Amino acid sequence: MSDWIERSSKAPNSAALPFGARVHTPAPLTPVASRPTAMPLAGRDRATWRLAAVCLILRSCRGRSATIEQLHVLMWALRDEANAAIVRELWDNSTASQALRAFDPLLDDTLALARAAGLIKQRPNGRQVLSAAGGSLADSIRDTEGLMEGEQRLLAHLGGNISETRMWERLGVPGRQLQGRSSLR
Amino acid sequence: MSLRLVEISLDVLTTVGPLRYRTRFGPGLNVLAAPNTYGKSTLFQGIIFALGLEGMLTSSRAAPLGPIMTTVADLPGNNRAAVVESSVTLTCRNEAGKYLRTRRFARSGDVQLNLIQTWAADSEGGLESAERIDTYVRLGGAAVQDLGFHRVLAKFLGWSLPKVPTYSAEEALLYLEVLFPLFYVEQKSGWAGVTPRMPTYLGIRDMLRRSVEYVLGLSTLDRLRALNALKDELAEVKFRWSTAVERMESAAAAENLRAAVSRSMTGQTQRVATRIEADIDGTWTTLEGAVARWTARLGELEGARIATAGERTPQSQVELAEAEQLVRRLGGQLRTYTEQMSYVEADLDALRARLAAVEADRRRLKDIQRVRALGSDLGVAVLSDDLCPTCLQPLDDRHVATGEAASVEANLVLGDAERTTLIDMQSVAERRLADLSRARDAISQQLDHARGQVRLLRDELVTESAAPSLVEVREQLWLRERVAGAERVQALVASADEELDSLAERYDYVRARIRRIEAESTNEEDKHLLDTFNRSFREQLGLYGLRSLPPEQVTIDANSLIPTDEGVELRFDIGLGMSASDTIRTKWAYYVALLETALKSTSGHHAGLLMLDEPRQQETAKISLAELVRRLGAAATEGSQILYATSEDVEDLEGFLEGIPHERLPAPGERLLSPVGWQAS
Repeated sequence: MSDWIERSSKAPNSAALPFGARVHTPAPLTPVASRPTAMPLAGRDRATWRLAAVCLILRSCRGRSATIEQLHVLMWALRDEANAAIVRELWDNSTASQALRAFDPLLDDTLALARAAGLIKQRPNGRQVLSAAGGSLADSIRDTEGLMEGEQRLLAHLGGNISETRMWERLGVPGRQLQGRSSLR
Repeated sequence: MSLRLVEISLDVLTTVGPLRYRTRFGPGLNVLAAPNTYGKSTLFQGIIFALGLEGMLTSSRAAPLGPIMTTVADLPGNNRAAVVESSVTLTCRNEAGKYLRTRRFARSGDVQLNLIQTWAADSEGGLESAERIDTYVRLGGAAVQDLGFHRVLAKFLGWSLPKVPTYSAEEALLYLEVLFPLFYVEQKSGWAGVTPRMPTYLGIRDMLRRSVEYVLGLSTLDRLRALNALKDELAEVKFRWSTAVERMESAAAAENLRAAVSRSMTGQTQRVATRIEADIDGTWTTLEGAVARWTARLGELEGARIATAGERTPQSQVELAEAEQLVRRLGGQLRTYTEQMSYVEADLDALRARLAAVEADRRRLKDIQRVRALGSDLGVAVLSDDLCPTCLQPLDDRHVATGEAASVEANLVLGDAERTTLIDMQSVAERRLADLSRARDAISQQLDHARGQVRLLRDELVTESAAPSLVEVREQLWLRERVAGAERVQALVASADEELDSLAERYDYVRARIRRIEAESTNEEDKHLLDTFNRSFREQLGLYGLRSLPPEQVTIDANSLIPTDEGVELRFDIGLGMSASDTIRTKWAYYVALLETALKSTSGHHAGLLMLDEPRQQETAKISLAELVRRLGAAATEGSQILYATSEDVEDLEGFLEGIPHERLPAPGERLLSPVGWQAS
């Protein structure tokens, strides 16, 4: 046992230990226990933000309705400032050689939840349209100063009455730029 | 000073003819009993509109009145007609017996919504001949400019509105829109939640607390103002401190010196005099030591004859070899420092990007909290309570089942901790970068000097032997410059140090005063008012039959001035046992207790007016309502004016009002506004 040296504030450091001696770390004073802890979840992945964002997007689309493809791009843009900057840049300086499409992995769940909550409806042609309740929510958000400002700023930049044709004119159509067409007809 | 409503007239001109509702108000309890959709809320909203106070309900600039006053009016016999013009005219009296009449158009081809016409007189009859003064509302300056209506109204009420802290650096007036939510509960969303609904878009900090303090006349508001003045002074002292420190640092850097001074403000006990250091052969030494060394060397050079280049050749050869070696060494050091700086800069970029992401997420989480409140108002359970709209199971606020997600509040706490860590790491990295930059600048200057020395020695070795040594002349000049520069910095630091001493003294004084004010216990008058407020509140909870928890367990917190259950904010929560009907009971008790207490306060600012639009919500028991009406009747006899709109069953209402002095406001016809002098077809 003389080979074992208790480590304490007064114990010599390992460089000063005699040859063959080992440092023994004493047991902790309190029992060690572990328990599952709730994981932090980014605001953009939370149902509340996603539902509010979908309502705001649809409120800014022509006829308060949009296709799933449009929603994927706009939700992707809204969820991150860097994405928003890319959309803004391409929207303002659209070129025939570029096309932007993006995918928001949680969109399907968000739309299902929004439909169940009565915030949106689905038309037979698959377009998602804002319901009266969803419209009230979007209006309340717009009326509340300082609420979801970044999101509203981007949507206002895109014109506030976004039609599908105009959106793809600005963001390009995949494949068409390869055929050398300069714009949509 | 209180506000008495005397008369109101709602006038609508339709394409078919005029509609009107006109009534006078009694001084005490006024009851408007009529069925749903009659237009009771239109009357109350009309009062708020005529006083330009709709900003207490919404940030929207539209008139808060229904279609009957703005677009299409329903006429008797299921007919409809377009509204051409509409206005509300309200006559009020103050405690001094003066009268104010206001007229505001909700729809007009000529008059804008922001304009309120006013007439003031010493008697009601005098209003007819009084001069009309046009004022404005819901525009910047409406509460401060002479023609701003809210300034006129505040003056009429005899109120001097205090300035209170906002969420920005500026202070704002405690606007009338922030006070009137304590005097009026509207039907649509006013009964949601336990506490009064406040116009949060105005950005005033602790809005409800500040309003209640002002209405009750608590001295805490004065203390807050004193505290804010001291905090402003503290900010100014801190600004002057950092300016003085920057002045010292930049003066030192200009002479290739470094100043060791505390950038963060300290009091007198921790105050340490500034130390200036110079880099001597790669080691930072005190300026005094460096100056002594430079002066001694200067003395040596000045005391001896300047050697000729020829005499100095062997020495110059040795010195040239040394100087060339020094140039190589310093060049290596410079590269190392530059490399280290680029690493730290890359770290800093990463830290800044992460901090920006954390702050963006923090804003988003705060938004989520506010959207939840909207969800609660709109009755969207998935937003307000994270309940699945189909199976009503808790949603845990996320879509993906990858483990239990932290609540927004817990997430915010975690985010704040991460933010603090990142800010600390950023400031450490910035300090390190500044140290490296200073060291690199010093080495760079030494390198320049060494290169110059190499050039000089090479020149000297090829120059005429009889010429005086340029190296010695140059060294003398260099030493003189260094000593003179050091003296300039020492003089500047001495004066800046004096300023820092006096700032440290002022810092101690301001901090001590802030601590004293913060430690001051509530004064006796405040204590008495808060006791009265609490007593009245709890007594009413008992009378109204609060069931979710024992009334004696509920108190109005002396700091936040909101109802709490053993220190926890009371809110509608089935999980915690607070039912919706008990939320309504709590709200009645809060409003009435505030009115009763404020009227007893010598420095209170209650308008003496309480407007309750359909207070029986959530199927609150009739027995509770009977008690409320009795209590309102009692408050009315004490000098308050109470407007109570209800769609109660007539018999029940007669029963509630039995023995209580009151006025019944007229409610003829099917709708509040009825045709005047024409027969609707």
